[in-house]
Amino acid sequence: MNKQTKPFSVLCVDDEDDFLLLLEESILEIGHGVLKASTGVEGLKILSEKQNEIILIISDIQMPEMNGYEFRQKCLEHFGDIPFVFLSGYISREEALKAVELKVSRFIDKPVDFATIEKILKDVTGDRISALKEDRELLEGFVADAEALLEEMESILLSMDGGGSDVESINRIFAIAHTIKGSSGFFKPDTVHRFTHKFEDFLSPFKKENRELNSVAVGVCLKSLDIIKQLLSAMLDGSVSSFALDDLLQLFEVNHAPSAESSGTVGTATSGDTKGNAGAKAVEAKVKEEVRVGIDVLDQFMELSGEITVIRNVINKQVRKIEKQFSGNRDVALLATMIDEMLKINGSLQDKVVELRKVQLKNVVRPLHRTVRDLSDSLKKDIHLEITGESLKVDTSIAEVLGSSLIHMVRNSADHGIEMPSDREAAGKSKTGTIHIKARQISDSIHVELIDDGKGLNRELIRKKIVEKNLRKDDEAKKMTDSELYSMIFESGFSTAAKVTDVSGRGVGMDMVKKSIMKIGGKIDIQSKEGKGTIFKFILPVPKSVTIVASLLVRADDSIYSLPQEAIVKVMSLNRVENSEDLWSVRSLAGADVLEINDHILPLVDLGRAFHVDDSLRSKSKTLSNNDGYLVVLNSNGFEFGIRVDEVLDLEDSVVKKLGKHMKELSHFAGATFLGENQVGLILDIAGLAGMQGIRADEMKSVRNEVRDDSSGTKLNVRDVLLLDIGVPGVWGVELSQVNRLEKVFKKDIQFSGQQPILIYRNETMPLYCLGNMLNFNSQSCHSAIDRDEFNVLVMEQNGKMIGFMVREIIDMVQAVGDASPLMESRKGVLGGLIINDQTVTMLSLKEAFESRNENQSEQSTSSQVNAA
Amino acid sequence: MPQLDASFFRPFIEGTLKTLKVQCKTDAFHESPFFKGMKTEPVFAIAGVIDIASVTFTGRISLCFPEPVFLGMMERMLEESFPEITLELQDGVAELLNMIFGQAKVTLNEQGHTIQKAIPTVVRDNTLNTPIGKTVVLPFKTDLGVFHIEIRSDS
Amino acid sequence: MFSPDTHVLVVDDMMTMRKLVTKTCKELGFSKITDAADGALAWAAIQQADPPIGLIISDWNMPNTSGLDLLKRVRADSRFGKIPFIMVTAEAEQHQIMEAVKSGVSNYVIKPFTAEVLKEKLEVVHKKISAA
Repeated sequence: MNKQTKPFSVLCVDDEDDFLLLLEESILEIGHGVLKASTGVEGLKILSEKQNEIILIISDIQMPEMNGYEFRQKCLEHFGDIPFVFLSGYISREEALKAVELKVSRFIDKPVDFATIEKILKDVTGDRISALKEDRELLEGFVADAEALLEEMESILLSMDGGGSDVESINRIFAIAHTIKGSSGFFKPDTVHRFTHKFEDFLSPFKKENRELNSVAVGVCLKSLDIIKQLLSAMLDGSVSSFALDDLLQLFEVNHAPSAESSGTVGTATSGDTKGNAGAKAVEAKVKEEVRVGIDVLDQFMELSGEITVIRNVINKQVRKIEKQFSGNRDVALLATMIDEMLKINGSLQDKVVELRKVQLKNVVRPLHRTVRDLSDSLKKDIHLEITGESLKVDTSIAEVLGSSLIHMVRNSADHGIEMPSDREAAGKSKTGTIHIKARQISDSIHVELIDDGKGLNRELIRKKIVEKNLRKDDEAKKMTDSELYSMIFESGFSTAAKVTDVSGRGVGMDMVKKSIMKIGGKIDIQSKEGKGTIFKFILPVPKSVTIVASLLVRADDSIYSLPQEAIVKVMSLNRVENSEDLWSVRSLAGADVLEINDHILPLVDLGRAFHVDDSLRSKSKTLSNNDGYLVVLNSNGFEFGIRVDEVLDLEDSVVKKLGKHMKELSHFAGATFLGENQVGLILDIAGLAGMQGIRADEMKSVRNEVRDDSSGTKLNVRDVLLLDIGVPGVWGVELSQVNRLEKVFKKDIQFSGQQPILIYRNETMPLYCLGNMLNFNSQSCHSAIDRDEFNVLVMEQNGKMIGFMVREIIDMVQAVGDASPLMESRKGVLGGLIINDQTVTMLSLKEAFESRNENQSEQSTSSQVNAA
Repeated sequence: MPQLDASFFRPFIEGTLKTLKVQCKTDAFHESPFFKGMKTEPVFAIAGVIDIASVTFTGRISLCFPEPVFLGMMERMLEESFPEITLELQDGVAELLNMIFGQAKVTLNEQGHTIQKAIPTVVRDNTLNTPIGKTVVLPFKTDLGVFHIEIRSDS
Repeated sequence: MFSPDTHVLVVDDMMTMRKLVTKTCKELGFSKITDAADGALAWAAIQQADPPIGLIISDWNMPNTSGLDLLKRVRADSRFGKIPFIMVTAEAEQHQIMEAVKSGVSNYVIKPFTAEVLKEKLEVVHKKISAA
């Protein structure tokens, strides 16, 4: 790379040659270059070519054609604030003011002496010089980076020369051209930018239409590459402007009809044939490294490796026993060491097998681009497919189902969802419809969303079809909820398309999608908004039959349970002597046992009682005050609770076996594991257990109140206040007395009645309102309460009806004294400000907020709820 | 002058060095800027984003931190340790960017850019969506690790 | 200098800034510090604070009610009109500072700032009050 840096120059503009010569002499002596112009017009021309080396402009005021002021004005407009000095003897006050306005740094008297010039250069050019140096560094960095990218492009081109370019290669070439185009746009003159722009235009049909780069095209690419390289080095030495861009661009004009110009490129094509062969060899070599394995073999492999783990664990236990009996025996010690080694290897074997079964989602979703493009053509629609999360790796069983399902779903969305371009425009949407496939892993499930911004599902049409097709009776259809209606489109024989098209509309396919998703234990969730679009969400569990969970084995009564280690917060012995770190006690409140630890109250579950083990089977004297057994504190989705067990056995990798059908509805068991010695342990599903025990935030509330009541006698108009995060900055408070219940709600359980989100709660339909949106005075800073999968709902009873207020989080419950003071401006739903623990909290009235919802709550709240899903 | 050059982003570099020095007691050193897409992109966990509109330039400035660097900065700023980036804590990045921007704005307005009011937002999880090729990355090094500023031009 | 018993009200919409200013105030010896997340809330706090607020340090840019709005409200009220009011802002620009001065701000601090800077400004404010 050419690293030669040109000296900085001073531009001198004067119609009197003598002065110019005088200036030149001094400036050259100081060590800068000099550029001379005898008129302003000439000066501007020099600036347009060499502005990146000019550190100072010295100009006369009185000049023919364009005077100094006009010249300065033009400089500012086109070249920015380059330091500027006027050469002038006498100036009036008016002129001085004008000069200040034009950001003229100095006036110097004619004739000028060396010392003055030197001082001026020192005083006013410092910033300019360092800025230019940085610009130059940036340019050099850019050229170096671009050259590396061009090398890469060249090697791709050479490996494909002679045809046979794949999509990935074209995409990469396009990406490189695009990157260089964008970055070079920052530099002046923008020759490289304009050239690469045309180059990109040349490439784009190949990329869009998935066309192979033929030998002629490859030739054009290689030639472009050479030109870009030349231009880049010309940028460094400042000679770019000497290139005639229009001539260079001819290259792209001739590519379709081979002519004299492109004969050279055809020439490269012939020589490229040999390279093509070399490429084929490279492909062969690649094939040798990859071996295809049937999925059934992988399944068996997984199964077997699971069995090994089981046996391994049994052996391990036996060896530990033997080790105890024969401590000091060298053979036994060796055996133990080898077993340790085996454990390690077995562990990494497990990891490898799990990894082996995974495939990149990319392989599944990439072909959809093609599908969408073909559909766009045949349907005469403008559809853009966007994919996020394609680098996610998923189990083969999931990939398989997704592969077939997504094609159906994309077809369905393209055909039924996305409108014709003219209809879209009429509806005020962009002409191009978007189908967005979004994949991610959330704990143990793969979530794949297919989001289209089309016309949404038409509930009435679906209802009509259901009756027409005899899928439901008329009165039944009328009663169906939105989600029931939506799910009907997955029924066999159902299709709402007005006419049968090539693409879809025969009503087969969608039911297959549903079947295959159900088969792997998945769920489909549909949300739709008329005119806005539809979201199909697949929630696919990572297959449990193949999971290995690091767990802790515990015994409660005579059963052994396996607790996933990731859910365990801590294990404490009920024997108080061993306990030193934490202050805790077990007490009975409101008829339930609770664990009070470091000022927190946690619900406590007795495992034996939880699983209805017959009391007669239970060991005697099971009261928690006894000093035997252990307490395990578990965390379920951020909520902690304790369980009491008799014995803590061992840490172990449990191979999770699916439970038989008869136990499927037992949500508190995630599966079973073999423990060796013909014992089976049940793996607890911590969230399921918490749910089954009804452990929720509302239980906590009552427990807390009681603790306070019996501990402190002071009652000074103390109120309990819930501190909330409602998605709007600041701390918000609601008096507990306003709230009837607190519920934790999963987003998936929300349904929609029209635009109104609702929740089936205690066999009643409860409308949900986003508290943040209700009170939202500044939509910019409001996060939707339900941008997460799980959130809190404050339930208020109003005239016998339940109303739910969604909040992001309940931060804390605190006690407050006194009344809220009015705010500077009154707001609906806001009682005022109250200082609680040195923090000023906005106190809310749920009732007032609810009553004023029609004024405050706008379209945005509901639309953000749909989008949030 | 639609050109995005050193005179434009130098005020941001200076604002960053000063802000971190004063507020987080951290010496940052800036490294050679480069164009996004031309080198491996630095990853980050949290970014403050300000959209800028001015007569000469429209675009977006993003201040991007990897999680440990941000947590370290916040720890030094507030003398309190934080195990994770909470919703409340994430405003810190917007605040730092506000300060940096406030510093830079003075210089830029002197240069005639007359920058308009901008509203900072916070972005999480490495998803800035800046189109490749129109963005300059200004990398910085500190004892806590590296972070960067992205200046995107929409002009 | 202000007495360490002065009840300080810190107003900022960003939690991190509230913490930062509160921390800085503690460094300067203040022990009673209350915070509020915007101008409107701050007004509520000013009315109910016990002991009464003796110093307000407020951010300029906040949603809903800005620091400037709060300043004007405080200055317009005979009960609180004399409370020293320091504006904290990231906008180091002259015309904005002028606007605050016109509305009766006691002094201003430009972010980023150190404890020393805040201390200096407080000393200036205190001197002004004592002289009056």
